[in-house]
Amino acid sequence: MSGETIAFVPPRYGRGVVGGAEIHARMLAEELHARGWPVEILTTDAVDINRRESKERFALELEVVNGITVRRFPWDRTRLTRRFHRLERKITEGKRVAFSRQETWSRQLFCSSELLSYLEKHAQKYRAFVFIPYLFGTTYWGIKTVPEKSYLIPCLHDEPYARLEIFRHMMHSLRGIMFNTEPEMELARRLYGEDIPGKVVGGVAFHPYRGDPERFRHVFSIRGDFVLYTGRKEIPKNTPLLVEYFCNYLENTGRDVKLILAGSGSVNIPVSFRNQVIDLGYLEERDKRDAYCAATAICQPSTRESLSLVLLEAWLAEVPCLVHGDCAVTRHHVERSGGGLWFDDYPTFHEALDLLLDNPDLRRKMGRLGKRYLLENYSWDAIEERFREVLEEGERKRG
Amino acid sequence: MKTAEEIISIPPDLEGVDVPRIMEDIKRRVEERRQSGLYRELPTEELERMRVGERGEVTIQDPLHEIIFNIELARHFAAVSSWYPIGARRTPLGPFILLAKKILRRFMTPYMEAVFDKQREFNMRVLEALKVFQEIIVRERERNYRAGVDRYYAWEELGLAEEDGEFLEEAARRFPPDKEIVHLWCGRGEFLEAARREGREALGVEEDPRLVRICQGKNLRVQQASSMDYLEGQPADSLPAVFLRDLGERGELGDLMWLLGVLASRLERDGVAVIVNHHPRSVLGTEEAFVDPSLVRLIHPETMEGLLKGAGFRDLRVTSLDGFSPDEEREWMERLGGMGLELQDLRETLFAPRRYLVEARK
Repeated sequence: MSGETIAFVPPRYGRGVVGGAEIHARMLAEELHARGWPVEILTTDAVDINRRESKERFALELEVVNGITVRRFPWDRTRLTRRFHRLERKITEGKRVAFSRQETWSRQLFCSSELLSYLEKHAQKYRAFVFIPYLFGTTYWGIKTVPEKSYLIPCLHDEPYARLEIFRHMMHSLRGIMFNTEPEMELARRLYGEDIPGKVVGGVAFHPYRGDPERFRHVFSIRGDFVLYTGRKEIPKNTPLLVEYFCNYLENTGRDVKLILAGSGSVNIPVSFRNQVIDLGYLEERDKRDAYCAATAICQPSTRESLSLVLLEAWLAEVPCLVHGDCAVTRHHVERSGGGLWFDDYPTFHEALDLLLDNPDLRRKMGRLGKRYLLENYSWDAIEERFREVLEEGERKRG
Repeated sequence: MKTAEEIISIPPDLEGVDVPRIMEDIKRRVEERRQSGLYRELPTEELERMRVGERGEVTIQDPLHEIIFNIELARHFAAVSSWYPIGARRTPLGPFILLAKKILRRFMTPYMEAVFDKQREFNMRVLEALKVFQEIIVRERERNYRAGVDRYYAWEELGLAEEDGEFLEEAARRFPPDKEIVHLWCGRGEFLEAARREGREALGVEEDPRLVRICQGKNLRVQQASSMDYLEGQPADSLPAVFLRDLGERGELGDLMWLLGVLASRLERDGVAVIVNHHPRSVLGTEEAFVDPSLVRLIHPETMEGLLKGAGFRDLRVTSLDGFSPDEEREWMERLGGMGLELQDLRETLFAPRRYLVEARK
């Protein structure tokens, strides 16, 4: 007989783990657990998947994180060979790669053989496996191991990897797909066909919070207006582009405004701008919320978002957002809510930022519109209901 | 259970932000101004070269930012590796040289790795130590934030500000009419208002931006700065008149000693400092004073006199202020009635003036 437990399968999980999909998995799992769903986490011992050489890893014994059982399995730390890099380059350049080689690539990218064995042996103990995100070997090979109980929160964005044949197959073998937004679902249907299963579940919701902006300013010595970026600092997130645009903006306008960066990863900050571009590194949850409340505006320059937790969380603090016009999802949020502006290039970034900095009333209004949109569209009750619908639909299909 | 909408009130008047129209305006504006050179766009390396050339080395303004910046920079270089790119010139011998280099690298790698293992371990330890140092600074600042309960929190959020009698006007009258008074830690600007009513010119100095905003809302002259830094930044013998209220009753005693020394040095000859503090002799006044949780101690007028003398003030005059009115005395006597409190000594203790004023000249 099949069990009742829902197992979430993210590539990594635990305190201090940052990354959109990982935080998404954690928030959803914790909320469902709080609402009485039996939930478990099956994941690897990885702390930072971008640093293979790092010896830092989670202990393999069973852990309970905020009431949820976490089972960790060793990450297959295969050495990335030159062949892998060649394959990776071909994929990112959009060149044709044979199916079997795509599979080899995904296995090398990030996987855990012991996790797959566990899935195979103990599939009966679980009602469903919810994999997140689409890209990693844990997801591809996990779904291949237990397709009859597999669901996916893809966190999909338009990138060369998404066009691989293996993912088209994966999307069709699933019981259900839980999309975060409509633009994400449209993209998936465009790439993999209209007949893929699933619907928009909506990702996660946030509980309203009250921050203390003065506390943030006091502790981190921040005075005056500042634009806040939170999240991983890396090229795929367009953080270097933001730093470049902002430095040019400072040079061209001479304005007294700062860019505050918070999150993991690193970005090159020109030394002569370091009093105005300040990288605070990883911030604790309380500090982050206080930072949102203290910020003049939030900037989310990434073009690869499937939901953008940053944007949603910032809107709860009634702060307007500046997003990249090439990102269908964040632009969709901004257009529908009225909670911010977007930029396509440096001149539009310059003008949009000028407009936000010069108009406190507009900022306030946009921030409130963003919050209204968030509260109206992202509530836990609605997300739980849609989550249940996708599960039940998948189970009906299975018979 | 309350819904999110009930917890956070969202005002209904949110219409009127037409984002697509704003974006069209932005794009039109960009087209109009593109030729003006306003949108000069350079790679960060080039901006850096320009700036360094123009302004020389840039120093970081805040030590915490300096530490964080260097930790992030160090993290970038911490994971040293024995791997390095190799190449050779495009000559007939090139491929052989390349092969030889590769063999050499392969041969040397285990030995180099043994050294780099130690180097990486060392780098990680140093980074961890720096991180701990950063956390200590952040924790320390966090503890200092409001120092438990700060004045703004006590006065505005808890609503525990004392009611001011007319003693502030009296204090303002103690200053020569033609001299500008500087009020350090001016708070919500009650003294500045009293000085204005008495026709005196006064400037407030306040560090807390929320209190500064309150003063600005009352059209008072106020400068946002740390009062200690402001005082220290003034030339010696330059200030004619300084007002201080509740001096030493908040914060560290060490700061008070330091402050009195600097105050004595910055006041001009014959300059006057007026201090108004709570009088610990008044039992009921003391009770009233300690309703404000940001207050940590009272300083007896004789102690204050001694400290001022020690700091170099010569001409000192102490006056009691803000006594109980006959009505207030009667009210209290009724509340304490039947307890035989008619004795004059007890009466004086209970109803001693709530404050004292020290007029100190250099």
